[in-house]
Amino acid sequence: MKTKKNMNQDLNQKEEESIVEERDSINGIAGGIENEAGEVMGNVDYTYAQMVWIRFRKHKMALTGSAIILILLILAFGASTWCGGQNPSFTDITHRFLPPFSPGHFLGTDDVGRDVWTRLLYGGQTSLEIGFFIAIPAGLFGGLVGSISGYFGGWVDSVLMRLVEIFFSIPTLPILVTLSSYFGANKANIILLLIIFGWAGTARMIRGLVLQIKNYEFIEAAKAIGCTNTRIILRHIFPNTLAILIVQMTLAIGGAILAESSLSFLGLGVNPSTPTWGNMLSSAQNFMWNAPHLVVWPGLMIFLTILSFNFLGDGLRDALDPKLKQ
Amino acid sequence: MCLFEQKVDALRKAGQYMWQYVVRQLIQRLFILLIISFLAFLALNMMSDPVDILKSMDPHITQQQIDIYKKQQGLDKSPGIRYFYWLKGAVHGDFGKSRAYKEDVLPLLIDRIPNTVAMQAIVILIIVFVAIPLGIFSAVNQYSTWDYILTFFAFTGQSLPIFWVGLMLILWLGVGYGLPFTGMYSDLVNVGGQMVPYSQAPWLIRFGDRIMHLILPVITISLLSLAGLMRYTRSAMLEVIRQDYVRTARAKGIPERKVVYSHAMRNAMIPIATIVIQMIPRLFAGSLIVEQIFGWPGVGKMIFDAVMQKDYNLAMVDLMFMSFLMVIFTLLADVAYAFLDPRITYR
Repeated sequence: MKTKKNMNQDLNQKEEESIVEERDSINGIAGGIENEAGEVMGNVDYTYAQMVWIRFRKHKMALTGSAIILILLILAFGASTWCGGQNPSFTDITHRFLPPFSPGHFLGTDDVGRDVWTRLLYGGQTSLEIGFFIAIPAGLFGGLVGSISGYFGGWVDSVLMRLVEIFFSIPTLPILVTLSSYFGANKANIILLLIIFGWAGTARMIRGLVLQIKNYEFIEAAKAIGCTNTRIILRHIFPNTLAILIVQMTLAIGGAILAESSLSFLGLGVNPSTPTWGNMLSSAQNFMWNAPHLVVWPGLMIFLTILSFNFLGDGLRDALDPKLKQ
Repeated sequence: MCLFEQKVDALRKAGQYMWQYVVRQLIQRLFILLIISFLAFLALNMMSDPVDILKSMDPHITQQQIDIYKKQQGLDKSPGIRYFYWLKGAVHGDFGKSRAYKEDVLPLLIDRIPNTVAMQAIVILIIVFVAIPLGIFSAVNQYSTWDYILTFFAFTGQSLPIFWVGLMLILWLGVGYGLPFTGMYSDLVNVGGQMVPYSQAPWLIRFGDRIMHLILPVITISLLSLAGLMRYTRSAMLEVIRQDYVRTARAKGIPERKVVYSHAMRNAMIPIATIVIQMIPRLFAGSLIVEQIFGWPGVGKMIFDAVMQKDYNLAMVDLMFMSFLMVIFTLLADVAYAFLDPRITYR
């Protein structure tokens, strides 16, 4: 018992020391800090970006995550180079269900003889595109609504927060299934639907943050020198919420890719003529018994992508705003 | 007035405020439910033109017959007016008839509810009894190797696509180890070496068969939901451990075990309990994919099938059921928070 207690104290102490060390190293208080080459530099005032980078590179999983995302982006958006110019829709009935590592087909072929590797790359292109196109607008819109709601308060706040509550009370997946089956399965509709159902969480979070920010002196100062509300929101409040917003959007990219692939898996997402990881999995499901490898790859890619974005988001949260660290 | 009486009085007053809060919230949430039902009704009505179905059933149908049918069903009115007809019926418990089953939709829904409840109840039990202890363990041993391993596991769980996990488990445990993965029961069950139709088997065997069918879907959902609750428990616990009264308890020389499990955990449990309550309706809504993969005849699969068959009365009642759960359970979470935490009053 005693040893455990001591250990805990040790850990706490260690943690505190490391925090102090970190703070000193970042502010350059400790009277000189080693740079990468190991030389001791004088007291340096780091810019915000440098501080972020110093904290970010400590987060090994986030570094790994961003490396994977980079590789995925290069693979997906240079798809035509990496698959030797093959067409993702080129069908070859004579070579169906080829196993992985077949000559000319690195990951084999699917039920109509299309090259799995090629489709995986082009599918990544669509999935990543959709992720970015959903997460960024939804995040910005949520941030705007949250800022307005938190800054003005009163009836504006009540109305907007009731709206957010409505979106929170909607069973998202069933309603998405309903709407996407009505609007038809294509990329634009899916993006629009997922934006509509994706901003509420961010709005609520940013609102909470703005409620704190608006009590700071610099907002009062801005008001005193006669800034308009628009200017205060855009120039003084928005930049202060940016750190959380970026983290939120990074995590939302993973969420959006997951939502899109769920819908595509159910046959309600992107039309199968455009490959995405979700609809590849959906069609592979029907041939699971003959060709189980077809199920493995797209799912693995979805998993890897979302995991990387989650790590990146976590690393960014620690790096952009250490106060948020839990 | 002695101290005790004062205390009782304060409690009574708090209870009164609480009721006022609950009633106010109920009214507000009823309003939210109305808005959702209106939007869902519009969406579902746009989705399907009933005349198309009539034409496909009988290609020789005349325009006159269509008009009569429309008048009978009230389909000649605008969707807004039809919504009020639907609402009027709904208030009386009449949600219309299913197009596919030719029956009232409410009994169809009620038939399906126990199937989903059975599955989700087991899931919730598993995640509560696994995720919360793991989360506490992780928080108490912060920055230890086990904490890192559990954190990594949690990230993995939060990133796994549920449909893929379901398919992989079917391939691995279903095909590899012969666990059943379609439907709720086998057509033929083994009774003492003899294959007997399910309905004629003794209840114990039927029960065992049902459990076998539950294993794969339950593992699939639990794997993914565990991670979130574990992370949440960890951070709730860390939040509490940092506080002054925990330090005071340690300083007084109370054994570490007691500090963690009785001083810190009690307060950490308040947000955890509310989050568990909030998870319940989300598990229901999320059951759609898992029930679809495993062919489990619950409310999630029903909504998917109804949408696919353009059976909008059925889809509507199912959607409303899920929204109702969402609304009620978020309210329940708020009330539970106030009930568990005496520091919160709803004035």
